[in-house]
Amino acid sequence: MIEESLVARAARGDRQAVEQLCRQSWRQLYAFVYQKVQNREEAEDVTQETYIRVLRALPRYGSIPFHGLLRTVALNLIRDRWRKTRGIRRLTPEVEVFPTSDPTDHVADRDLVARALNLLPQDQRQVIELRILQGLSTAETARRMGRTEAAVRTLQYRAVQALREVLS
Amino acid sequence: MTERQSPELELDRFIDDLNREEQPEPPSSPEMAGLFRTVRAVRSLRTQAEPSSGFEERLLHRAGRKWLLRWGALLEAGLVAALVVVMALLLPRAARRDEAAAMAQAAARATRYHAQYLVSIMRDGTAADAYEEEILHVWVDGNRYAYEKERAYRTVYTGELKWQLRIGERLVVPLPAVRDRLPLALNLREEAEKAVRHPHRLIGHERVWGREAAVIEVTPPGEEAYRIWMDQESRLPIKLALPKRDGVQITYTFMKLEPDAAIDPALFTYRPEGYREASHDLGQVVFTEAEAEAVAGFAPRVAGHLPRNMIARPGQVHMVYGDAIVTQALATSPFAPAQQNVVGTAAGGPVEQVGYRLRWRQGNLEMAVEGIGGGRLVGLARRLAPDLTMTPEAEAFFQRPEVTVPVSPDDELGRLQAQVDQGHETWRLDPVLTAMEFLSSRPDLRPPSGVQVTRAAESTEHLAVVSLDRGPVQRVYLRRLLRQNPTGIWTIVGYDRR
Repeated sequence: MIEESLVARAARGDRQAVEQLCRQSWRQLYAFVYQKVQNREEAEDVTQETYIRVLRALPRYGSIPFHGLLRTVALNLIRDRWRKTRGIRRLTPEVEVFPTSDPTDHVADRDLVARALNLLPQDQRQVIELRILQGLSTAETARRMGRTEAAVRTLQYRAVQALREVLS
Repeated sequence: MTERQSPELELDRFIDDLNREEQPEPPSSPEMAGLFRTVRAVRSLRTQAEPSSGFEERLLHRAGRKWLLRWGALLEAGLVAALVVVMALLLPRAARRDEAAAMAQAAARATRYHAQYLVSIMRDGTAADAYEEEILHVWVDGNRYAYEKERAYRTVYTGELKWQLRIGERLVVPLPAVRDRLPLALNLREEAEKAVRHPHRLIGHERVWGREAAVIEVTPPGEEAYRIWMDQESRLPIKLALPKRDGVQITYTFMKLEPDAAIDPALFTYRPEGYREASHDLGQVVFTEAEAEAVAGFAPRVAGHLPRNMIARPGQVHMVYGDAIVTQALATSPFAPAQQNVVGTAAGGPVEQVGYRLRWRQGNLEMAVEGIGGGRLVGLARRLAPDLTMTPEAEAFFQRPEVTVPVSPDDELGRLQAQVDQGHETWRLDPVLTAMEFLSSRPDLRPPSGVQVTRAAESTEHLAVVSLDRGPVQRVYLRRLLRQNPTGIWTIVGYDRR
């Protein structure tokens, strides 16, 4: 729990308070961002950028609950990043790379994801477990499954497609 | 110009990037964007990667420096937009208060319903038991209710009486008339009113089993926030997620909820036709072998010394030796264990092992020893049948816990059980949570962050062995000492150091 007095001191320019505020809150924010982006590199970048923006705004918006402020700014940053990449990688003006829904909505109900996994055929479930949940390389997955790497790529593509169908 | 690649290869590279914890390339098509989202959703089942070494210092340096340099600068347009959203999300509005209030009103009206209820336990990591679930059918009619598990057990409560039907055995077992605590399932109003009573806010919308639902975050004073989902159409609460603790998330969800469903009054019939009552079959506490023989009709074999407790009924004697229970019964049918469960011989016949339970025939008695895995259990069995032999694998299985944890007195366990019955500390119903709570309370045993915890396959409804993949403790042993059913709390009885 962040003390209001600490936020107020930070908003008034107390350097020590700023440091304490960061130390007390960054782990929670990092976990929140990581859940959205699912990789360390991006999670660290977004977390740092969020603090820079929020600390600048504190003198005016210090009365807003601090964790809520962090999360909302972080979400906006993630959305901004996705929008920018969409512009760069758009293939033609007609092709919309991202659907109109919020790109951070991918953090689906974990229960549903786990249940959906159980609905897949055994080999598709296995490739997802090895490649995505255990984080093995394609080569290692191929070795464990007794298939070629190309066959693993095809199988994993079908498995993710099937999972997407189930989840949607 | 980006080099075109096959969709399979693009997805493969995306997965590789995430596995390396690096920011991935953006997708090349809407189809691929959908697949990327799916991969991220699957990855959310994993434990999060910790930030790189020195991240905190880099963050403090960067944030502190920027803050000083830009102090007093005008806010960027993007931030203004962000803060508008913040204000919209965080500031109280009558409309938002109405969400929870509307839910409470709808729940107060829903006094009769049938539901399919899912309890799910999600643990961080990729262990085989990272996800567990239980599905119950629930019928509620005012103050009375019934719930059924796997078409095998039906528990019924009428306000005055409570019993369990064991459907396969056609048996009625009376229970103490205490209401069960199944969050959300048996009383919609209670959870909805709790949400109204405490600070709460609308944080978004999601689909829950095909229904549009509003997600409300509730923060009881002094407690962690939890979430409750309200069905947009019926305004009823349909899902409840407790705060995550020790990497474990427990969620209660109505997969199906039928308000005003017709409830068959026969559900509340105490003894349905064809059922017999078990109330007079619970046995009698005896103190000596002679008393046991008088009740049971046979002289039980005592394993060296008298047990701490002995309960006898016609044809059967139970003896409690510390962590183990010996059951002896007059054999009424041939002893025919499943071949794959035979692990040795005793008294000239086979010995069967099922979990932490050994069973064999000795003369006209069927003998069973059940207890925590350990030398004491096998020692007890050998005192009853000195010629008992087992395979090396089975011997290894029964190695005793290296460290025995003293068990609380019965009255203390009773107090804890009563607390759980009232809905407090419900983690005691889960052996993994109980083990983690115990280990976390002991600085010398505390597991490291990200530890993978598994409930061992040999666990039964009475006994559980919880394994940890790292840290100072390798295995934790638990027992259900008071009630051997899903409502019974687990108690730590021992552990093995790594």
